[in-house]
Amino acid sequence: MFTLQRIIHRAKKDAAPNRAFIKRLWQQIDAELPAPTMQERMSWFTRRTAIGFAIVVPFLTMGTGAYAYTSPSVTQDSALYPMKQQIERVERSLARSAEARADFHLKMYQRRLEETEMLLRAQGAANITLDAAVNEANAANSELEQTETSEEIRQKRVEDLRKLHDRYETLRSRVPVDGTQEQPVLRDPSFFRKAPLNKN
Amino acid sequence: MNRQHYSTFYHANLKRIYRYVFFRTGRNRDVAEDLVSDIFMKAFEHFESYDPEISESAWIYRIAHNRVLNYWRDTKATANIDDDAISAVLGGDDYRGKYADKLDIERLLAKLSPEERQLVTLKYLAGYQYSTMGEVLGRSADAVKVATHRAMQKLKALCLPSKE
Repeated sequence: MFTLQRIIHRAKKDAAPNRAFIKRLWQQIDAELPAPTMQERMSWFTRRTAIGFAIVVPFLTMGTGAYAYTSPSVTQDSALYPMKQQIERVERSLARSAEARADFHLKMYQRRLEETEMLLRAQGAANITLDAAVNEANAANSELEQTETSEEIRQKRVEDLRKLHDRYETLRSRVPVDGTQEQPVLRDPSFFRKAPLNKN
Repeated sequence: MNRQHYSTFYHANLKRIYRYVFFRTGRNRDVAEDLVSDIFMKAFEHFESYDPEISESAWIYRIAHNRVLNYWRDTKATANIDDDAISAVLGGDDYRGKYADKLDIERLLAKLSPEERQLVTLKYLAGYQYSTMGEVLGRSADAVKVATHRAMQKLKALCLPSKE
């Protein structure tokens, strides 16, 4: 059976028309065909346009997403903010370990502060963003408590957190407090419980 | 005539028709190219009068089949041309000299009946589907499938080494 299949396969391969012949014959026929109508030309144009859109739109979407994700000027009052939050949720779900999550929340803390700085210029939703920043800081605290990394790395994260806290305090003093909302309390990293290191 | 329609038809059928003609004319590339050109030019001329009751694949196959028969009729003007006559030429010694190293498939096909040879050529060499084959041969797709399967079993048996 194998031999027969091989013989047929080889025969079929040998029997393929060469490209030059296919092209030559089509040119011969094409010369006899009437010129394309306006409708056919339009459909060609429409098809080309559709293909162009199909290629460009994903790039634009990705570009917009990248901008929304990285730019501090995309804040609570921006139309792109939901996209930014969505991407951040995805990034959060990809952080598997406590250490990765801590890094993520630190990054988000920094980002919320940067957004707050942007918002301060307009005195808009700065309070809300600052509260969100506090939540990120506390989440980073919680994760750092659970991380089983070395003491050296943990201390580095705590230092990062402290620096961001200083920045937070500066911003907080500049943002008028909204008395109608209860503010989240920022936990101080100096009160960290030292989680036992994994001896393995 | 709709340009796009003929272009689609041409590109969908060219390779199958070429392979069919190629095998039915002793694997002669020059002859196959001439005949295939004639076939598609003729199809082009009659494309608007084509009967939509049959598939385009079946229609072009019929044109190709008739053109191949005409070719053999012109080449062997004195012979009664039918599938048996073609097989006699394809399997004959006069073709084995030049193409001795390429004649494995022809040697095998020559041992089948004309009908079996046609089925194997259409299905395995030209690449037709059973439904189209049924249409061009005037039989049901299932009947064609069974007959093709039997022809292949026969070919397989021919490939087995002799026990003697």
